[in-house]
Amino acid sequence: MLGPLVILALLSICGGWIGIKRFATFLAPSVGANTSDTGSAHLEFMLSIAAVGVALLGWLVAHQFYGQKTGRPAKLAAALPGGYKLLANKYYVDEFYAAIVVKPLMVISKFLLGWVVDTALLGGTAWLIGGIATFSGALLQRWQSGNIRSYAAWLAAGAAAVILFVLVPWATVLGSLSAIHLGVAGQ
Amino acid sequence: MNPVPDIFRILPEVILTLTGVAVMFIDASLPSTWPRRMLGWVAAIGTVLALWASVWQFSLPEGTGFSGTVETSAFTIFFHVLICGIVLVALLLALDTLPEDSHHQGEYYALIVFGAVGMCLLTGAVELLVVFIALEISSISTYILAGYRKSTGRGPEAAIKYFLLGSFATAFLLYGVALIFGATGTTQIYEIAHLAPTAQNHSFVVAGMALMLVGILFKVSAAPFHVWTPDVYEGAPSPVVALLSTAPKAAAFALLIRVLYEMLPSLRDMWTPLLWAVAVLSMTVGNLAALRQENVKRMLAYSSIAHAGYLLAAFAGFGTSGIAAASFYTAAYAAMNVGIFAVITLVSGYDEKLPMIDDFRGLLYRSPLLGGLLIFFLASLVGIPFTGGFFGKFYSFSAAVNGGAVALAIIGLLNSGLAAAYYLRLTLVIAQHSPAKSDEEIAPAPQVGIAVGAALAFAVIATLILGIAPNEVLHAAENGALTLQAPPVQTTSPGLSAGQLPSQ
Amino acid sequence: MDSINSSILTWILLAPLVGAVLVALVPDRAKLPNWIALLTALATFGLTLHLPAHFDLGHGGFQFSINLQWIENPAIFYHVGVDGLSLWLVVLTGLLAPVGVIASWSAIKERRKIFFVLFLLQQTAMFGVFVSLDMMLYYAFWELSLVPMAILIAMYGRKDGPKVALKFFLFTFISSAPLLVAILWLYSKTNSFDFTVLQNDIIVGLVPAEPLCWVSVAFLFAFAVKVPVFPLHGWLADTFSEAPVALAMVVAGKLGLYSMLRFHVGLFPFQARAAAPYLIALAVIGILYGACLALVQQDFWRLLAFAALSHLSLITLGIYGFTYAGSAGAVYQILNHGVVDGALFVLLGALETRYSTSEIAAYGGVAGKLPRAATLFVIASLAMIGLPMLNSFVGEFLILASTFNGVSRSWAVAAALGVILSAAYMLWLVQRVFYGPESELTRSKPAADLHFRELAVLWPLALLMLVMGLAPSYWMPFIEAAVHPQNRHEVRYLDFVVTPNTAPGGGQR
Repeated sequence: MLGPLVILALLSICGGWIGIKRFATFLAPSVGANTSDTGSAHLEFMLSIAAVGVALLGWLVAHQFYGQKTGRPAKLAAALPGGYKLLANKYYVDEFYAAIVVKPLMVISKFLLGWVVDTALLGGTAWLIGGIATFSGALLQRWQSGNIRSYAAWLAAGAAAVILFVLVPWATVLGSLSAIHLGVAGQ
Repeated sequence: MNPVPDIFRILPEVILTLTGVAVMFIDASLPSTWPRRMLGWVAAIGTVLALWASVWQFSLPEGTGFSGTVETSAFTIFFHVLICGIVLVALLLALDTLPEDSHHQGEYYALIVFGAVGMCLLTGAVELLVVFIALEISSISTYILAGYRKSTGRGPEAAIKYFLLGSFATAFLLYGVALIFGATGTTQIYEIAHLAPTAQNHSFVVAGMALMLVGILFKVSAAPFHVWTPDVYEGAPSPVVALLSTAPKAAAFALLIRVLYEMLPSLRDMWTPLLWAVAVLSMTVGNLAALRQENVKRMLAYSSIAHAGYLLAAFAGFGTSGIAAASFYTAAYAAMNVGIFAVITLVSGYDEKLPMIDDFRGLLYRSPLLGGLLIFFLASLVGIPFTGGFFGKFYSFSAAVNGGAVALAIIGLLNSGLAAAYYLRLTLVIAQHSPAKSDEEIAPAPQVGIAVGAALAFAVIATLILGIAPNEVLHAAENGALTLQAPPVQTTSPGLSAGQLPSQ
Repeated sequence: MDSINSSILTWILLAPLVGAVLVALVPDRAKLPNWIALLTALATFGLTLHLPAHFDLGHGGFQFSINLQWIENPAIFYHVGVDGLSLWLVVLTGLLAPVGVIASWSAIKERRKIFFVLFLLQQTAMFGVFVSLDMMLYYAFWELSLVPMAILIAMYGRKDGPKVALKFFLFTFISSAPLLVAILWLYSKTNSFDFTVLQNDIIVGLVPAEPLCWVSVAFLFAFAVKVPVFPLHGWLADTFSEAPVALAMVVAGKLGLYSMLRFHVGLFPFQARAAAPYLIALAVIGILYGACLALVQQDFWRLLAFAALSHLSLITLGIYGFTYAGSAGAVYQILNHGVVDGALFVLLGALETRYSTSEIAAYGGVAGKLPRAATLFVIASLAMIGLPMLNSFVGEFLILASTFNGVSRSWAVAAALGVILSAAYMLWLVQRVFYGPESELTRSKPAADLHFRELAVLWPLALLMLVMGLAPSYWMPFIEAAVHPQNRHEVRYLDFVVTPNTAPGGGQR
């Protein structure tokens, strides 16, 4: 873990500096997005100082507690058991967060999105289309009885269909059909 | 008035006939113990000569012979070359795959050559009775070839089915010819083209066309006249199927083009919707039924039904673009289908001990060459770019879109997506490593002999050329399409030329 | 130099093919196929670097182009060329080729010849998609790219190869059927397959507008499946968990996104604007949906798949926001996603070859055994999350900021939530795999840390993430030239300026 953390630390050092000057040119196309300064340089400087100050303070306290006078945390814990427990558990933020956000998100993702939507709905649709194709293929294969009389019957039926097809005056039929349709629409 | 001797008009047919007769004579005069394999070479040489004669016919002026019954034009030469090429590949394939001890080899080669005579004549005939005779010559040869494997029950069964149903369908064709003759008083195609629009009994012409279409659509195995296809393909020996699924179909498509575009362009409004419906039905039925097929030859039989559908889509196109697309597709389909059946013959063996998809498992490792070739031909059937199948489909659907049949193109291309499912299933089985059965049961890697090697090389090169540099073939198809018009002296219906695109 | 410039794209297309033929010819001994594939990939990458080196920024339009007739009728041309949009995608494809070879080095133990032949064929197909300017040529390469992928998934699938290969192929192949019809229809109206000619004819109004809407939908549908856009992602998770690492890293994303930018937005600007609101909604749903599902996956390949869905949706959002910054960010983010996903795939593939499982729960405490892998994985994860100073930050920031300002604040906020979730699932993955107590598996199975050759590709990728994060100005000018509003074709033609932050679909028609 040390390696990655070192990289992260280095990046955060560099990041702070590069951000100030080069941001506008760096992401030139997003000038339309207007990322330029929202506060004055003075305010920005003050905020930086404050942030670094708080960090330093934390480091100092930790150093005092665990680096030099190692007995102090135990004493404090004994004096304020409730408070220490709250702090040791980080105000129970993690637990609270897990119950409110993480758990429901995981459950919804797994069951609603994963099972219902992805597997059942989307996968099911693909499966259904494939299934319909293979099923109709199986039906079509039943044409192939191997019986020559049924084949001849198919041939004759096909011929009849073709003759009907060409002898029916489609233009007239379609015309009358559309006339009916129009008639209905007209009412 | 016609300086070209009539015999030159049918020179390829003459050469093929002589070759067939020669093969039969030699066969009969050889002692029965002698091997018959050399007869195949005789037939192959004759076919090459016929091929050359077809090309030579380019030097003839375009025109008809034998009192206007046969024609030579760029169109007929295109199909002559195609059919002779297919027959040559089929002969080379048979040379190495027919069992050595077969005493009927002589008749096998002779029948193939006689069949070729009929098919070639069919593409050149411009008179309906000659058309009928040519169709019968080619059909009878193929009926017998389909039942060539007499030792199994399936061979004769296939032959009987093919023969009975084929005769039935040819009867429809003949009836159609009779009706058209009744309406117009002639059987000459140019004259019919001239007379049909004004014929008194116009509905006879229409009915005649419908009946002729039944006969032709049977030959190209388009739905709903396809029922014979799977059974016949399964029962006939694979080298015969290689021929059966391509050459007679090419001839029948040539006839279809001639009947529709040259003889009855005046009925375009009637046959376009009909072929639209037949195309959609063929593709859909063929592809859906192939999805669950476990027998490779049956699967390819259904696939050939679907391909007939794709090809018929080109008929939605106008004039030359439709004809050229259909001709090109015929060539592309022939190249890849002959190739795939050649590979299947080698893998399954003549006796077809391994006919199922599962038997092809791991072929790519048992025999990288055949596995690779099979994948290549399957890719072409799917319509993967840079193969002949892609441009075939492309031209066909492009003609359809040009003719305004966008819905047909969409249905067709969705269908080709559906088709990819079963082609790919076979492809993936070939590429899969774990053999289904123990090693003893798996046949040893099949040997590829010289003749078969040449046949395969021919098919591969043709498929590749049609996919990468199709210009020449396309030119030939277009030139053929341009010549396919009833001579202007007689015709009043000039057909629909590409210039007359509808303003959609 | 001119002759090099006009033929360089042809060389780039041919180089992998030549390599493939060589691999097919040599015997499968002593890693010979691997070495030839690696050398080919490196040589091709070298060739692609010629492009940015000699690209003329001031020159609008396509460069390094060559336009030869291939087929006379219908007129199909071998027309290739690159602009700022495709330039870096070509380079990225070139870069990922050696990465893919290295990732397959020890993972592919048998049938190496077939693997590398198909792998190199796939390279050619992908290059072809990026450089083709003739619609038929483009379509040919687009379809061709499916075949090696499907076969390799079937051959090297972990559990259920053939089935997944079929699924992948059918999803993408069937969806591109309407695309071909649409291209043919355009040809029947304009007599051209040429991209630039079509672009002109459509703007001029040579093509009837009513059907054009359907044509654009057909284009969009094919691309949306390939990206994939929610809800068309059905093939993605299975493909990621079955495909060999070298192919999984290129299967999603760039091909589809590039095609959207070039051929949907580029050819049908008005139709694309009309479709934008729907796509934005789908993209935001995809971001959140992918992120949520990534949280609950048990298998790291599937996790990566849903993470990819989320991130690719973000890019889609950038494209269809129709803002200048968003488009630039989207293009940049395609590159970032390629680099970062490539690194993650190599690392997870390395884990899988060592421990032969992809189940997250089986891992734990790997960092102790494989510290270098852990370090690199953390860097790549942070890049993926969009940590400032790493590459994805730039792209994501541009997309989110432009969406916030130019499209819709609520969509932008929702999309930003997805970015937060991405931090959650990635860091959680890092924690579960690399840290914590050593699992049974990590304890019992001895495993060596990353080899030299793995480090040799991973460190450069990590470095690239940093450089692309720190100095996007090196890449951006090329991209900006391509997506700048004033260079948008319809704008140049119609001679009015589209303000960068116009709401989609509003008032442009």
